Amino acid sequence: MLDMLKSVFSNLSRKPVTRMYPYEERKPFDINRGHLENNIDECIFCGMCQRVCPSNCIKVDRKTSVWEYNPFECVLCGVCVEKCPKKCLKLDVHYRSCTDKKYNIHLEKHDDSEKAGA
Amino acid sequence: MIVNSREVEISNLKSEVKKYHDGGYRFVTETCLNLEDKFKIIYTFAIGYDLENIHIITDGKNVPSVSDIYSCALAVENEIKELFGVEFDGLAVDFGGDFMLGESSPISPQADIEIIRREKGGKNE
Amino acid sequence: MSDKSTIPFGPQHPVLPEPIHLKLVVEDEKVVEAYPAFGFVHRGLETLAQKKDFNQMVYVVERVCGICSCMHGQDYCEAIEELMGVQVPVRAEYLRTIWAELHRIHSHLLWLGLFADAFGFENLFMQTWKIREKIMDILEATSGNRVIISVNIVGGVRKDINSEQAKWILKELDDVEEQLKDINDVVMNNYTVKERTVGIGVLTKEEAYELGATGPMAKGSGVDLDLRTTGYAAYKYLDFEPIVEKDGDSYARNLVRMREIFQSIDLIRQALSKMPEGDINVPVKGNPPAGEVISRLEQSRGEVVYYIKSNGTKFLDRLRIRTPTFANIPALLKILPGSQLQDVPVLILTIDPCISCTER
Repeated sequence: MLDMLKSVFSNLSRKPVTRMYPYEERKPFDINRGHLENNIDECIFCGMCQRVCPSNCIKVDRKTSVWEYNPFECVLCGVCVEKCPKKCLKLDVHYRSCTDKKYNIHLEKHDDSEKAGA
Repeated sequence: MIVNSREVEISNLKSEVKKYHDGGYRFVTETCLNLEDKFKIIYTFAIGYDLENIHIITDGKNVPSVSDIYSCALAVENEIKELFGVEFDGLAVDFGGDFMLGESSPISPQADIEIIRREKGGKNE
Repeated sequence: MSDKSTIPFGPQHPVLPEPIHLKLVVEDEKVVEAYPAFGFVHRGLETLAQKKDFNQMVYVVERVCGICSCMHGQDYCEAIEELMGVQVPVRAEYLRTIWAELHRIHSHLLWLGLFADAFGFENLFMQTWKIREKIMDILEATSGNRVIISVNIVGGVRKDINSEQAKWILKELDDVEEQLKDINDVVMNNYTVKERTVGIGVLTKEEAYELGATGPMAKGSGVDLDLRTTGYAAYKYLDFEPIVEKDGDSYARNLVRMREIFQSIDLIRQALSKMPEGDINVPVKGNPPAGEVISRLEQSRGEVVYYIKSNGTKFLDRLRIRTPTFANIPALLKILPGSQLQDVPVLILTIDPCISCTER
């Protein structure tokens, strides 16, 4: 009957196991797959990420130098990062913050290399 | 394990399956494949850790059900019936199209050819 | 004299987060018949194999089920590797084994929590999930994700465990084992647990074999079937015995899972100490040759069967997944009639149902 008593008493004297989340955040692990980022200045628009992506969330247009990415279809497997020949794709450890609207990440490379979010 | 399945005539299917049953084999699964305009159903049995496969080629009508020999085959046969539209004769329990599909779901979604048609306003035949 | 009435159970039910629907025909409080209905989360993943190339499918099959996702990927990769004649490096085999066993621990702990919750033992539920969080941290620190860890690829694994991480894992596992021992007494001896599980849902050895039950469902009934003894991945280098209980009731299945957690901890320790240095994957060139292959392995719920038919192109002709829960459904339908209505949640949870697996 009293098997649980040991853990009950040890839990009484212990600190809480949970965190007060919004005020106290856990540090992400070094290899955490948070979100995908592209350093568009180095991108050569080879289209490798588009070919290997299992969820077809990346669209690359070589002619107009556009790299488009749908973060809501992405499954964060990280294959594109491994296959990227220029290593300009990278997985950041922090998660993308939540939103009430879906959006695409639209990156273009011009001579002056500007960045446009949509 | 590379599959080496042995083809069995539909008329001999039940006696072959009975042989496996009496030999102490465990029923593993049935797999339905789309051929050009036919279906191939692979029966997999296991004794210990070894597998044996037999298969039949059918046009999808009047396939004898093995669920009276191995009662556990009724789940997979109902699934094949609903996802591929293969008709089984003598199913131990026929869920009547309610096992995997709902009332408004597409008929035989995994089949290349359609052999069961939805009656007007009703469920599967 | 009493009348029969039909009670719907699910798809939304407090004890079960996943959608299964059962029509229960009851006579007073006694269940006399049970009819299941699935398909609420059918996603057509088997058909998707004809649309995605075989390397991309690894990430799709991992999403068949969250709890055993790593082992789904492993089985799929082993099937393709056998078809292509690829030999993965020994270190990759060990790493696959370690992640698979970590998945087994967290799956069993999740199940134990839900099972305790099913008969109202909230405290046990919270304790087990507290322990499980440590395993999730190990998975996250070694692979980058908590649940769908996406480590398997055709030809090996993608991530490595270095010696520092290995030390940390061993330390965490010691902690987990210590906390589990406290829980173990509760699960094995507690009045509440025993009252709700002993003698409930008895499945004899013959019935379990005849109905094709797998995993803890079969092992709890005394059927000595554990595919890990066939020595896929690194199990051929490790030393273990399949865990079997005789009684065949819910309590016996409970014990099998509880003992398997300790066994998995032991297997991870063995694997980490024996793991050799070396490559973690080999490059795979070309497409799988035309052919058919069946690959099986032991998941936390039992035997999973992958059937793959390839036609020589990069798309597969047919992928069929026979998941362990699907094999355990006939056994569930066998033990439900004759039980009390109050025991139905316990009986459904005792097969450790994974409905997403069942429907794919």
